[in-house]
Amino acid sequence: MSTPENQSEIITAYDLLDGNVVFLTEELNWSSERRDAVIAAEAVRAEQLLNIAHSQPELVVDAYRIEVRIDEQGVPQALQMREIARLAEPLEAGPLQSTLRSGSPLQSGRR
Amino acid sequence: MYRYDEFDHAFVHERVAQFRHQLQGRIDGTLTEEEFRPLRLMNGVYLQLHAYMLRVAIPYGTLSSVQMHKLAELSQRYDRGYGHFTTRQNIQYNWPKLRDIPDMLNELAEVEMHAIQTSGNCIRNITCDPFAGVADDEVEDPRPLAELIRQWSTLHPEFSYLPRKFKIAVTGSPQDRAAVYFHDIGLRIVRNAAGDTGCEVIVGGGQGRTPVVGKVLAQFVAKSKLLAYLESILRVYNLHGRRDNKYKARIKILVNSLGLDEFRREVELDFASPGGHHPDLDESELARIEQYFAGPAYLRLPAHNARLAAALATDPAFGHWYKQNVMTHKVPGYAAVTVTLKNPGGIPGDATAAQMVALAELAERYSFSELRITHAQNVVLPDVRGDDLHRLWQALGEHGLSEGNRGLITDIIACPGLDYCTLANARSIPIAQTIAKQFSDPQRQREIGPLTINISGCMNACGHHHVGHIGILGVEKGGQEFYQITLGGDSSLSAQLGERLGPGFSANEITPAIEKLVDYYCEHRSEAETFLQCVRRVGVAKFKDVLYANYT
Repeated sequence: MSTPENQSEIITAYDLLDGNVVFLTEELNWSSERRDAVIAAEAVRAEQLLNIAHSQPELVVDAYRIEVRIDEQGVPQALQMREIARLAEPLEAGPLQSTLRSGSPLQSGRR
Repeated sequence: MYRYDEFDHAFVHERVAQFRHQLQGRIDGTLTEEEFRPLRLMNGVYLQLHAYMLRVAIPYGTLSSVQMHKLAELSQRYDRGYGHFTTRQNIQYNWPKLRDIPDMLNELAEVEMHAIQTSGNCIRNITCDPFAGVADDEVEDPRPLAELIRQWSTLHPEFSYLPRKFKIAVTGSPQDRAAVYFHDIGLRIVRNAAGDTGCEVIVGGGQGRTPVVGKVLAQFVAKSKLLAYLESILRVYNLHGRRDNKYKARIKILVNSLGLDEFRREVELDFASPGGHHPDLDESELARIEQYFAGPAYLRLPAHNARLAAALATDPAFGHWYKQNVMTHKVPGYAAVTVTLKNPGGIPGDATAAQMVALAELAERYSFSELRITHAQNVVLPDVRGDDLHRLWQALGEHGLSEGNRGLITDIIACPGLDYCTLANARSIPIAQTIAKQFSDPQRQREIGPLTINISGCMNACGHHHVGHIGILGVEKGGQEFYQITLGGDSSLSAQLGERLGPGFSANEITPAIEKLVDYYCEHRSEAETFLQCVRRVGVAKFKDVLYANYT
């Protein structure tokens, strides 16, 4: 099973001792830089990477998959609002507007 | 203030050592994350959206200047140079490193503070009227009872694993400044016909996704019986509260499902049963605790102060601040000062390390070295001499703390929201900032008069939106933040839940929407009518019509 077109996934977690947001890299290490994240184009691969993350509890806590879109600079950009906020500094997130879904109920006036 | 005895000191230090050991276990793999997580939560350590968060208890919101200095120091040494005061009168650090937290707790223990029971399904920090002991309308100082309940509830073996968290508030004044109708248990100190003081016990209030105004369970419980009575309430809750569904686990759900009469019958049955209760309170024990709150060495001062009068006559800006932020004190010649952490454009409840140091120093110079944190996320200097008020105000101004907006539209309560909180659906802080900036003109604020805006970033209602005169609830719909408005909430003795007006507004639309409501009030109020009074007279429906006219 693959993720929807133009969408990929990365694995994120928190550094156990520092609490910093980190990303699983191609070398299966952890980096605080989103651009270093290993990209999973398919859900199966994302799940494999998550299992690897879970096998490193001495390094990270609360690992999970997030859906991303890769921008022109090759940097993964989060799609869900919570993740957009998480990857931004507080109060610097700008307009939090997910690009994940179209046909939002908002467009039909239901809020 | 209460001071730790030998036992207290030994206990908190032992607890720090335990946590250090537990953390070591997590690092070396002898404890799994699943095993460690509840242990860290029992010490106030959460994992939030961006980082760990440490919530430190400020019992009934009372701090010494030494403690405030320490809070500032910790924010600089271990965090990003600021702290966030919460609606439970606590402080949160948003960026501590887990590796540093045992050291932080150790430093807190040195100044008689800790983070125990600031998380988990236990009895949380006891909250209280921030003007306790100094308010001139007080039946009795509630702090000794709050301290008594704090001691009783700390690591209470029977109540450490309740169905859900449990919040208790105490007030000793007929003016409710502790939101007692919105706690699991609210206690009002009252006097009975015989002239004795005891507590009216209110149960089953709360906000969250099922907001409920608490109900009077007992009109008078003697102080000597109070802990036994509280035990009976907690016991009935512990036995019958739902553990299968966290959204239905609070005592308010139990009280509603059993009905108040049946709940009361269960409590009375337990209370009347022989044995197994906290013994009657020894008067000497209560007197021992009361001694800690005897009050500072007040001077005999004239009620009228010439220097204050002169400053008020010549400095209108000071006069505005005085009118709004200074409260009458029970001792002639003194006043209780509210320092709002609500600079329009700032973050509600946030204080920088420099501001915390300034507040500590000003407390030392002007207020017998004591401070209070309010549930509205402000700071109180409780014991300021009238002739010091002008100097204090000037000194506060040097630190961006002299805003005269207590209880006005920019004195906004806001939860951390999606900027920090992992549970949030939408941001609260930027909305508070935008609204406060829009209404930043002091003259306009004063013309609008008393008006509270409370903002929560999710249904858990940490920003108390249900009881704001205007409440704002952030929701996420279709990947966008929207804000629903409630109107007519009230956390005082005339407690009322706000009524939702209708569909939500986008982040860009919410401030104009608030402005529309405020403008309508200003145009239609009768003389001297507050916003809340106007809403009650005119009706929520009318405001709703105005708000949604031309709405598409």
